[in-house]
Amino acid sequence: MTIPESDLDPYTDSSITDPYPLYRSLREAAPVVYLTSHQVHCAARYEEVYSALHRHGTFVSGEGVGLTDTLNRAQKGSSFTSDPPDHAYVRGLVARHLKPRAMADITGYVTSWADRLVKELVAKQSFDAVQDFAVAFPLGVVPDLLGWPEDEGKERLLHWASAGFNAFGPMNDRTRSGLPLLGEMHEFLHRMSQPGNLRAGSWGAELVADAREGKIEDKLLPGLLGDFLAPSMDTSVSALSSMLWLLGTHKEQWQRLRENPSLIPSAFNEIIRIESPLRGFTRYVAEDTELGGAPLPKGSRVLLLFGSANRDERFWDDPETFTIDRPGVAQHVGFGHGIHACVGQALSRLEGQSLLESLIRHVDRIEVGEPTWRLHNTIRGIERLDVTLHG
Amino acid sequence: MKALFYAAGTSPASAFAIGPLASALRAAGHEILVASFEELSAAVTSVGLPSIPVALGHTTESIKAATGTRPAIEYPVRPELEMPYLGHWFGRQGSYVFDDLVEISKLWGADVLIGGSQAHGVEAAAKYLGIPFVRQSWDLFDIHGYEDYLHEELAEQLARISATELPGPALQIDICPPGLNSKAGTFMRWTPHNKQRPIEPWMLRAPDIGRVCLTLGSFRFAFPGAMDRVTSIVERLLDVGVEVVVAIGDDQGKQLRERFPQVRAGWIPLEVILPTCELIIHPAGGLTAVNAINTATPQLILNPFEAFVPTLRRLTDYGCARTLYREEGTPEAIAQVVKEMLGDSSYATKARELAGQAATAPTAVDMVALIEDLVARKVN
Repeated sequence: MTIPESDLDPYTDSSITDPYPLYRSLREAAPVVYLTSHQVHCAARYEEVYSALHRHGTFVSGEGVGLTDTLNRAQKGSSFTSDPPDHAYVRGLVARHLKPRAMADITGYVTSWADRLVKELVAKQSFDAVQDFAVAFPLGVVPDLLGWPEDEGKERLLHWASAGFNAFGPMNDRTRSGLPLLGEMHEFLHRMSQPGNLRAGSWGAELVADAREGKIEDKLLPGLLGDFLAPSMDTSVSALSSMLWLLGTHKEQWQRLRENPSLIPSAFNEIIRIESPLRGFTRYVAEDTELGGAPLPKGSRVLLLFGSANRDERFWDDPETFTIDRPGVAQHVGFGHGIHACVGQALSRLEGQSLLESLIRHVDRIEVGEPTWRLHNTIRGIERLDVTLHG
Repeated sequence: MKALFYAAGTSPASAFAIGPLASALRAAGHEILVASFEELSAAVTSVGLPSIPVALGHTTESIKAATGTRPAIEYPVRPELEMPYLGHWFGRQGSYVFDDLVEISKLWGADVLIGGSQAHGVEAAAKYLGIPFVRQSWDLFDIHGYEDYLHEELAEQLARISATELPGPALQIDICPPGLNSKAGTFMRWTPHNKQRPIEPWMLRAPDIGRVCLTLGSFRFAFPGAMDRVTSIVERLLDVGVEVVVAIGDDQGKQLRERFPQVRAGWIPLEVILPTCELIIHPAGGLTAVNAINTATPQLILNPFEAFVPTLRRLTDYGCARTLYREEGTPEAIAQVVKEMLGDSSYATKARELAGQAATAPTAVDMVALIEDLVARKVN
């Protein structure tokens, strides 16, 4: 099988604000397409994306998961850019606080946070879904769990995370404009890696203490702290703002959810499926292989489009429709899949499901305006959305 | 007081299940003996209880053959065969042990007979002897509908007590957590009495990456292809990116470790390993489920029997477990559900809640006085 070439470019402004027609064209073209615009292979169908994610010995992450070699080199060493056997160790350092039993320890804290936020927004009535709802939550919860110093402003964190995710895409203006911010984040994380800067008893302080005792290599520490912070920001902001938009524009689905709260886990998965926050990551091909019958040479790179796989009509029935009780929805690849699946997804679900529970408790009707979409290489998300919650 | 226990069936769990009550009675100064088919003696003595084999010359397997008017007992490959299987198999066991239970009780001077959920024949023996019978459930399940087959097997014993159906217990003790089922009654918290082994530090330390426990319980004896199934499940689990522990016999554990050096496998007491596991996968082992509940461990239950569905639905409705029924439990589906459960902490939160509920039940220590009272009043 020869791999068709395509001049479709997932990183133009128009294909970012409305990526789904482009994704469909890529899916229709072939199991694997060669994108001439970025000189990279691209898998847009579910089966090939899923397969590559699970064949982690062939489609490796240790050479980076972004589009360009320069930036991939800079992002080495973190949990999601490592391969077995090191991967389990590095991932474990982040995973230790994010496992289900550990999450059960903070469930009360997160649910009460969610309830307080929703009650405040119901009282306020009209607000911006992104700044007042979606940002408030991850920014309020995750840095606190990590042990963020009280006298240190958190506002830069969102800009750093955004720059970090842009850098998984091509070296375009979006990536370039974020490079100074990445330097700033790097400096901050190094400072936080010094003992005494993170709140005593926090997750982050524990990592720093482990490094002092020689349990963790010092050089890994800034990256580990970054692994906690950056991935939990933009992705969560995207998911939570899409949540309000989707439930506000699908009133019958919102009513069904109110009538049957046991659908909350399924509804959250459907939100992630249909508006997947992470557009995709790449994998480096470590040996000559094939994917969906397409030959891929060693040394090539393949872009796995999660957001497209989650709407693949070959896998999903009626994929463009938002249905909160979609059968098998948990099979989406919005959090990735296999050994590199999002390590924080239990926290993400705890956040999302807690907010849905609170919305059901306090809100009758969700009224939304027209969203404007972010221009971002890697994150599919809303820039601004006016919302009114009717309690 | 002398209490004669009868551990029915072939699963070591039926010996482990009665361990707390037998030990509590003994610690209170009473005498105990545990009768069982000889094949279960090792399990009985492994938890420090005195074993007295009965129905010598027979095994729970050998009695399954057709004899005279009695049908052969086949493994219930279809749901409609489950009740006949339960009734015939446990009834037939009862018919083989009845005389020995009566004889030992007379010889030894038993004051009370005690058996587990499907320990049958023993209630007829107690009636015949005129002494109390206590049934202590050996798992979560409350199964009915197999009585006709049971009575068919125990017709001769029923005639000896001039009854057409088996008598109920003088005391029913339930090890299901209070509130999980709709029953009111006498609840007892089952405390660990599993077969032990030297504990190693890794068993007490939860790995950062997360740990999942797989066990086939005594079902590993029931299927010829059980090891192939374990192997294929382990292969898929390794792809989830967590540490895999297989609680299994030591010989089978060795085979697994040779094939998967990164997998920990062998005999491991569940009460030791489960607190460090994010979830356990098991084939609806009734006592395994109790071990999981007590240690606040979410469960993925590979349910082989229709009869278990109502009870397991209570666990899934509670939110601390998921089930895959019969052929749904492919290795691929198991790995997918494990992935889903690891990514959703609500199962762990609910499991913790249920463990708290289970801990409100009194322990076996508090059951001693109830049994002493039955014996004093000669309730039969």
